[in-house]
Amino acid sequence: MSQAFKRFLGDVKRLPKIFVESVRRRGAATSDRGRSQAVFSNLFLHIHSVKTHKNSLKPSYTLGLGLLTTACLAVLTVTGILLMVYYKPTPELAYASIKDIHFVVPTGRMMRNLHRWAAHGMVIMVFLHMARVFYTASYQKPREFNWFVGVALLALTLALSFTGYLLPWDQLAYWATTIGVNIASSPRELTDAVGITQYFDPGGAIKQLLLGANTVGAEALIRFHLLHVMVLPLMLFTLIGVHFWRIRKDGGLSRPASADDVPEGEFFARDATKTYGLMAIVRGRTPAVGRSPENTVNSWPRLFVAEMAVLMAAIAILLILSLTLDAPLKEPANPAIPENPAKAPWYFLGLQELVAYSGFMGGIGVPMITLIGLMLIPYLDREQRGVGIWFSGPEGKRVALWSAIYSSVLVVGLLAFVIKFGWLREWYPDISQLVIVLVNPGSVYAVLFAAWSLWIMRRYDSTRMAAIALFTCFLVGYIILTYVGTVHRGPNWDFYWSQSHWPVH
Amino acid sequence: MPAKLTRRDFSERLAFGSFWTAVGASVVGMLKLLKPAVMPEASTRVKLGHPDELPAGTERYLAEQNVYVFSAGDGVYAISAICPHLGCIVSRLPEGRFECPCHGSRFSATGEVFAGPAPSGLPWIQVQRAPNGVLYADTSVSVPAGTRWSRG
Repeated sequence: MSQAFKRFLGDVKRLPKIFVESVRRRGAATSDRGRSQAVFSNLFLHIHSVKTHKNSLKPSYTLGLGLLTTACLAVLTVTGILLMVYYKPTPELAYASIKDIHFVVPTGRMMRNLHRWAAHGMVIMVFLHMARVFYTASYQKPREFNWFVGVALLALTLALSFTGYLLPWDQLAYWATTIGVNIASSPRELTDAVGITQYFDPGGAIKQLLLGANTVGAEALIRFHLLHVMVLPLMLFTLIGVHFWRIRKDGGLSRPASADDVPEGEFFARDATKTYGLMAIVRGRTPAVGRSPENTVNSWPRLFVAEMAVLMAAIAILLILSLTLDAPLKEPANPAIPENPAKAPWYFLGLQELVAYSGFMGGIGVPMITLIGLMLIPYLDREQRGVGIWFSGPEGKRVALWSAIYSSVLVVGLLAFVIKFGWLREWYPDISQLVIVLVNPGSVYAVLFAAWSLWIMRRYDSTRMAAIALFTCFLVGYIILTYVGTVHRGPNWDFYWSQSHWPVH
Repeated sequence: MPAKLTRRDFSERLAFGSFWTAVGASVVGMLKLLKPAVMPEASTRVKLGHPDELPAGTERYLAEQNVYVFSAGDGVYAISAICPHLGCIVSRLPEGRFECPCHGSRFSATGEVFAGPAPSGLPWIQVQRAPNGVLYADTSVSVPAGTRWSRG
């Protein structure tokens, strides 16, 4: 036997081992050093740093919310691709194909339910994640831009959910989309009031772009489908890439300055194999050789185990929800008879409540002010106060509490007043639409929230406190409006204490 | 005072400038694709019938076009049932008023808004007589409130 043939036979025998070695490039990750190298040199693992700060692993700090959002997105991506196998985006077939998925396709109902619940979950988690990042002042320098990207991701998440809402082509889908698209075209309210619509019509242009027609129909379904399965996901994944990358580049998760203090007497891994040499003669006390320079632990296994636990918890909860609660499907879309009430997904019902006073201010004005305001927060509050500490300390906690009370009283009070006594048009039927666009509950809330925030800024001499006040006001207002829109609004958008009081038809 | 613009800087700016101009122009060109050249919809013209078939007092609802047609003593007029607020279909109450199911806008029998979020009244639709004597409504043409085809 020639030497080459012998070598060849040996290699054939060792083939699996050689292949695995070629994949992971280095030996088995049996030591801390090996695991560090694995994290460092593996494309999929290197999203993480080799070492993770202890503070980032505290469940009470991150609450795992960013990861839970990611988990929902992963479920949405997988189930979404599976649903696309059977879904047909035409008005004639869409409803029937959803029905097939629900009743005929093997595991179809499960996939659809999972998609539905993961969508709800993702929206909730995005909101909570934003609140966590805000209240721990994690948006402050150097993480301003990542907060900015995060707000864009919030908008994309909502856009994805809105475009997905039309696809079943049932009554709710059809009418919620009709309302949504007319909200997008509501700048016309303003241009009509000023009388320039025939020269300058951004509302009409948006509507035409979204629908490809004058009404919701086949063209709109194709466009929404394309947005939902292609355009928006591409944008979302791109921005998520930026978001994750910036976490690393901005120095990992935020943490309080005190988190970097190493308690006296705690030493770097006792069996460390590192050796230290004296590199320079320095003044002062002996350099702290042997003292851990950072409060970090190895990402593998500490971080990975925590991540897997969160992911498994998320999937377990989604599975339980999907096994017990089916995603709804109403009658097929009927362009002649509106669903009554035609409610958007729950997270838009707060806006729908505002839209019931002015389509433009409630549907475009207030949301735009909110999004732009959110994006600007880190650029206008540059105090670096209490980074990594919930509410930046006890004072912030107090401000948040009082802001929540102020916002609750204001929102509930004005809402009760409007439900009882109506708004401007009921009192002055001939009033100009321009006045209503400018003065309606949505704009009143926005102005009074801003005034409160400015007052807090003066009282506490702090932009961080003002930011906490403003954010809390909007958050609480959003929650209350969403609650009222979801629970207390019935046919004709009239107020009802409960759904059992709705008129029967 | 900015540093002096060298020839190298200038050509670099020219390179980047032309690159981004090309990208921008391409994007604008591609966006044009999204604007429909023809609206994919049924004809907006709908036949109402000969005026004699619409004696005074007739009321008709064209469900497909969402248009109410009324014949009064002096003429025939049509009012759109699409709410100018957010596009829901208003329903007609027994007393002649209109009400929107989505956000509760209320309109008088002639379409003027008197309550709710609608920014304007229900649009009136053009009614015209074709040369063969038959009346047509065109839902794509709105006319000032009160405009009607007159029998006179």
